[in-house]
Amino acid sequence: MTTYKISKDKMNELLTSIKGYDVYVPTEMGDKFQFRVMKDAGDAKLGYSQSAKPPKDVIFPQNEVLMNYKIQPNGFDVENSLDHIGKFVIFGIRNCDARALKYLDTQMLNGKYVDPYYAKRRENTTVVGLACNSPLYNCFCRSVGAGPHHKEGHDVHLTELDDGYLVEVITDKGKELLANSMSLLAGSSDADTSKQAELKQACEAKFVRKIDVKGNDKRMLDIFESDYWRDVSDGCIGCGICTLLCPTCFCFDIQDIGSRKEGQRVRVWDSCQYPEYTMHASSHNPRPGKKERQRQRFFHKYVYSYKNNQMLGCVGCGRCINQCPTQIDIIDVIEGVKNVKEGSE
Amino acid sequence: MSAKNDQLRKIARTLLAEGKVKYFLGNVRGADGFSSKPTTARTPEEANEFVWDPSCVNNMASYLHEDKKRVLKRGEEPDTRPIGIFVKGCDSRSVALNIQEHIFEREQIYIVGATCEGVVDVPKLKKAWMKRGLPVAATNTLQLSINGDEVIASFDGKQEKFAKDDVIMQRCKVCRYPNPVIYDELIGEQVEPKPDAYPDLEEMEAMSPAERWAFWTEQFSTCVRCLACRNVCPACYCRECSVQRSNPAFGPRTTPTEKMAKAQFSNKTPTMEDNFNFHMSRMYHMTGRCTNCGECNRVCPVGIPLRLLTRKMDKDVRETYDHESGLDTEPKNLLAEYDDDDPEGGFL
Amino acid sequence: MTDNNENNENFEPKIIAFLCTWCSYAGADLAGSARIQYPTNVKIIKVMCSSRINPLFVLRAFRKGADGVLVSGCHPGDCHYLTGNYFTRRRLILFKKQLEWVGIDPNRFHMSWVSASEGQGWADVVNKVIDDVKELGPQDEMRRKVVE
Repeated sequence: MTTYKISKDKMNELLTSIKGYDVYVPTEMGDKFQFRVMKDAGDAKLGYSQSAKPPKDVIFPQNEVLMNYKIQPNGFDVENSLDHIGKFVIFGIRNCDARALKYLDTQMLNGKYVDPYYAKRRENTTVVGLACNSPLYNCFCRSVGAGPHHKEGHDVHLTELDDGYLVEVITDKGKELLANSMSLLAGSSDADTSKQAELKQACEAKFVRKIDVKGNDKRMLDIFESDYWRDVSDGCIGCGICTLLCPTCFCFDIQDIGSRKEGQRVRVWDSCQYPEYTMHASSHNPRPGKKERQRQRFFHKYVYSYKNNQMLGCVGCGRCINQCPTQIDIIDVIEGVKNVKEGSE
Repeated sequence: MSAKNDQLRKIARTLLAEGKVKYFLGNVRGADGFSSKPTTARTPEEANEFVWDPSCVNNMASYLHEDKKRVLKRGEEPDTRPIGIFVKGCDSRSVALNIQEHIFEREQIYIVGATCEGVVDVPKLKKAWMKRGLPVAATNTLQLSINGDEVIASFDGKQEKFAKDDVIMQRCKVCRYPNPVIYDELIGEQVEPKPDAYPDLEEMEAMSPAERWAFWTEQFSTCVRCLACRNVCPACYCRECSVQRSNPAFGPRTTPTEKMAKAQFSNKTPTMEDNFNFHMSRMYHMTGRCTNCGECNRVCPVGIPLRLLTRKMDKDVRETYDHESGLDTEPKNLLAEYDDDDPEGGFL
Repeated sequence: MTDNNENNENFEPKIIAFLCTWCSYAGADLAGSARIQYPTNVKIIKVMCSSRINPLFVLRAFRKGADGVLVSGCHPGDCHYLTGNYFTRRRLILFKKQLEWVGIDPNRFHMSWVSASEGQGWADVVNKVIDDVKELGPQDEMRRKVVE
């Protein structure tokens, strides 16, 4: 790992010097932030708090065309979109979202069945992380095994200092990305590194909410049938905000869209919060109500993921809490498990 | 302020204790201290948690539909007691709409109405709170009330005042029905309604069609199709939605009847064109039914100003047909009725 | 998903017309048997009554690439089912306003009353619609594009 420094006014130059990539940067949209392809370096708002939608959709787009096809008199004419995947940079991703990419890897690249579209995009993506200096009220990444300055899953890691950014090049991919812009980077001093450690501590002290996950998975399984889940999901309206905006959710549906002559096969995000998600052809629905569907969400994040991958399915970004229209609070729900009376033999 | 809370709690407690309602829909304080959280009280003790203050943004009428959608277990007898519900002025119109459309009978709902001076826009309040550097942890004891032009937040024996116009919901600034239109019990004094005007539409009306199209294109392209706007809507109660169908595979042998029954009006893919389709379908389905509670606008996670659509529709309907839904319990539906003398505008 | 790449000058619009079977379709039929000439850009979909037309059909037509949509039924009071077109009238007037509100040109979507005896009337309506749509050029806003 090599460490450099870049002054703040040169940041835009650095962004423009990245060639051959689609650079996704946090941009302002209304009063929210969104990751979008950079058209002008001035659009990048690196001082952003959190993007409304996680940047997972660079690697796992909400709307991914798998193939286009045409029906010809003598057969099919198929164009696989795998051949057209370009190169991407996610610039300024927060540690929580970068860690979520790691989690997605365990799902999409694990074992026998590697998802080729995801794999290609993942390989073509360079992740430039940006350390978090001011967590939001509902952030709790420290409680789920990460922290605002974690570098897990980053190729390049940036830390905002008073007079510039500390640039840590972690992987070869990162090196390749910055190869053209080396002239903009200066060496860093020990003072910068100690300043970084100071910022890290200051930031960690700012966290308000936390969650204690130890032993919760067993406890949750104990009370699987409890009315507790009915009570926590009382306010749920069954929208998909918590899952669609979750950086670790990866459920999808395949849609065939087209006419008799031509069409496309598209992969779109799906959500376990919709009744159609588990609907059987017989019209039986094993998760008939919001109780079962919300319970599934908590269990997937905090029980099943841990069991299967030794990694929690929650990175503590707090989006589902911030954006839930009816204040369903995953911290409260998981903490509340301890106080449920029934089911503890 | 707390007198209102006590009044609501007492009513709900009594109803539940006497078994007059099967459950009661109301708000409790959310975990972040600022917002309120919709909940269902099934025992009198749970009713003790209820709050009624300017943070109660949720329209409880959308939770009524749960009751209709629930599938009874085998051998289970349906509970025929009414549902207790807490409503503000705007919400009461939504309940009235459901009664107008025969989703519920009047006796099936026990309505506890409250007159409302406006509810706060929680994100805005939070922002103002942070800007003043007020302690976040203090929100555990936060109490909100509205006094004239000020929103008063009291915590730890201290008081903080915000200008009402800064932190209140946009929809409350043009609210014409702050008092419930139907109710069984009423909390609070009658409130003066706001004047009948559409100041929020003026900016959009001044735009040219091309500008409007550009505006909506940008907005619709950010939609993630979480369907929160549909699910939160008190007028949306279909068991199966015309815009959310699993994609049935049509083969050469699919009959026209099957295709018709499963017509796909909107694809699941959230591209700009499909989102446009979805939002237009949603808007059209709300024509003459929307009660202007503004919940769709509030819940949108990407901040699409959906209320610009519903308000415009409301204006059109009122100007053209002088119709307003959800004002009483008489059966009435704009698009299921007609008049010989309806205007002819636009026909060749 | 269509082959509509002509430039504006010799642009031949594709118009989808929803006609009620009792008046407007019969009117179009009459235009044919009376040998009244009118352009062939109109693709007719016959429905039993104009009130069968869900405005979502119109949206779907646009999404599939129609350059203009025309809905036509019996004159008010003449409906074969007595009251069907009264409902149509309310629906479509409001629907058209909604389209205008989001910035769709009102000339993309037309509504008309054509009775079974108005062969010439039908031809006039079609000419008017085609002229309007030709002026606007190909419809590209609501057409579902192949992503990427």
